[in-house]
Amino acid sequence: MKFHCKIKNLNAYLLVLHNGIFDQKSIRHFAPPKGVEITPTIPPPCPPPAGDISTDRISAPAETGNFRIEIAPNTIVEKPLQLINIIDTAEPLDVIHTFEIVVGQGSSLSLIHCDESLNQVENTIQSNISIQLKSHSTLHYYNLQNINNHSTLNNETVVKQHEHSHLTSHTYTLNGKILNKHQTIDFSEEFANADVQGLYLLDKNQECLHRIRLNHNFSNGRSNQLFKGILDDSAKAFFEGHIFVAKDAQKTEAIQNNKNILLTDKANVQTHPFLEIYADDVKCSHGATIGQMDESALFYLRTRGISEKQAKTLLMYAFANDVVRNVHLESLREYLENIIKRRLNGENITCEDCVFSYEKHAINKKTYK
Amino acid sequence: MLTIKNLYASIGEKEILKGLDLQVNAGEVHAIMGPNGTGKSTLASVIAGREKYVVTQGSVTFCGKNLFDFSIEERASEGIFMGFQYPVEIPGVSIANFMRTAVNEQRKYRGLDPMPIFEFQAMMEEKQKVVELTDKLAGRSVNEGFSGGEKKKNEIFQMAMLEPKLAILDETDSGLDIDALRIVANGVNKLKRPDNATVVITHYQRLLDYIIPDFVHIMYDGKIVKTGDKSLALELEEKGYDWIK
Ligand SMILES: Nc1ncnc2c1ncn2[C@@H]1O[C@H](COP(=O)(O)OP(=O)(O)OP(=O)(O)O)[C@@H](O)[C@H]1O
Ligand SMILES: [Mg+2]
Repeated sequence: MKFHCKIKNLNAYLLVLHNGIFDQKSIRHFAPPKGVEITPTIPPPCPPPAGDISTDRISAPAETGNFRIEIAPNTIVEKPLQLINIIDTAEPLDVIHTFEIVVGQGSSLSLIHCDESLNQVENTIQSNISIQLKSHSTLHYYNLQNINNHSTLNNETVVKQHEHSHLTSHTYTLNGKILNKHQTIDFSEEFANADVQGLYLLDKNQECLHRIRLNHNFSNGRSNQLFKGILDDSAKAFFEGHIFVAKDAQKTEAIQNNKNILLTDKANVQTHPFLEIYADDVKCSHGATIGQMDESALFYLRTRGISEKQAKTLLMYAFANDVVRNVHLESLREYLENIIKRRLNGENITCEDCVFSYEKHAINKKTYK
Repeated sequence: MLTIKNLYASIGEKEILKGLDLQVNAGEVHAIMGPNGTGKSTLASVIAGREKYVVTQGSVTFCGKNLFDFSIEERASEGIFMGFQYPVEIPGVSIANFMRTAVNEQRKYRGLDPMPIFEFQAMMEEKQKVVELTDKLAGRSVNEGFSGGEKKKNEIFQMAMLEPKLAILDETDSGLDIDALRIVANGVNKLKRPDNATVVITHYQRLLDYIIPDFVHIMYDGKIVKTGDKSLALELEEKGYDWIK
């Protein structure tokens, strides 16, 4: 096997999208358990990725990177599925891929989706993801974004939730040039539940954009958005969270928080909460903060002998951990804790440190540096 | 141990310490009393090194060294501990992690290796007993959601962990019930050694029934205006502050 995951004890089923081509052999490496069906698909043509893309760039063949995961009703998939989307071409590559997830009634699935690049050129990745959660189903979806500093990622996720379904959608932004994530979550029946969270750790000229549209179309829905960011150097973040509550969506509970720490004067955050509420019996709140590190907390830590640098790391880590602690897979949580600690300590988390290693790459390591 | 001479300090335009003198020797317990807003907490903060206070005149020598040559964290490692009047809540940082970092950073400063984890855990357990803190608290975030009394006990616990030469305890007695007051005071007494010193800042003579001071100072308008023995505290209790103004 070419890839192996570095997360200890994750013990996941591995799916690999290698340079935009869905590696069908990767399915055969594990026999998907009963009730899990993974099939390559040919999606309808999707819009080209945003931005100026010159025509002489290489694109991965559009029909090879697409698949569908369907979980039969009443199936608890014990082991997580891990999708590794990896690019290691010498030339810049554009990848467009689409995948669809259907979690059947009463079923549950954990999916870890890692976007990675091992090259150091300007790739663009466009992921179009559509998710359907049938009644009483659960999906834990974790997206780890760790692409090189020249690459752009556009992730367009659309979720449809039926009654009593539960979505956890986490996005961890560790590296990349421009990282756009749009999520549209539709509650299309009552008692749907969504936890949409994100953590972005940015430096240099990195840019991260989160656009969330949460549609409470039916009553008794609950949603909780928590997005936190730490920005160093000239990094930029943009957060737009739109909560829509339809007239009949009574007893809706919708919370939204976006909190940011700016480490320099040049770092920049724009946060736009937007609440559009037509029902009257609802609990909705939003909050946004952009600030420096808490000076009195820093002082307190330092009076105990903790150096300024270490004190800052402790505080940033605590800030970030507010999101990470909600990761329900222990092995993934520990892994994230570890790489976030290292990232906050100023270490550059390159792909080979991150989620997995690539054997061929290990041999040719020098050529990539 | 600590020699303060003619200390002036201000915040922004406002001068708060106005020519303060104080001498603290090893083995001594000092109490500082004085009306609200006279600068007691400011004095503690200036000694701890809080940057927002600017020292404009005077000197502070600690164990023969110029205190102003050291950063906040270096002062701590040199052996100064400040118990906060208002301990800061730090969500997401557990007391255990906080103390482990502090202990090891101080050890590093003194050229020692990090403390082995088992040794550290044993020390945590032992020191929690000093102020009758429960184990459960150690796993929680620093001061977050602690009651007023728990916060103050937590300060003394940290002092026990760090074994400072000089502890300045700013109103460690305020907000404590009778039992907690006894526990905190006993904690301070247990930590007393011939080679360390304690300065307690307090409004209440009551505390001094438990922690017997060698000296009582009255601070007023940014300086020490009167020094005596513990009977001075009793006199204050009776007469209030009017007579010193
Ligand atoms: N950041 C600040 N800006 C302006 N004035 C300040 C600031 N911090 C403290 N002061 C002022 O400095 C003076 C001394 O404050 P300090 O907290 O040292 O008093 P204290 O003697 O400890 O009072 P208390 O007994 O109430 O605790 C007060 O008048 C206070 O308002
Ligand atoms: Mg005070």
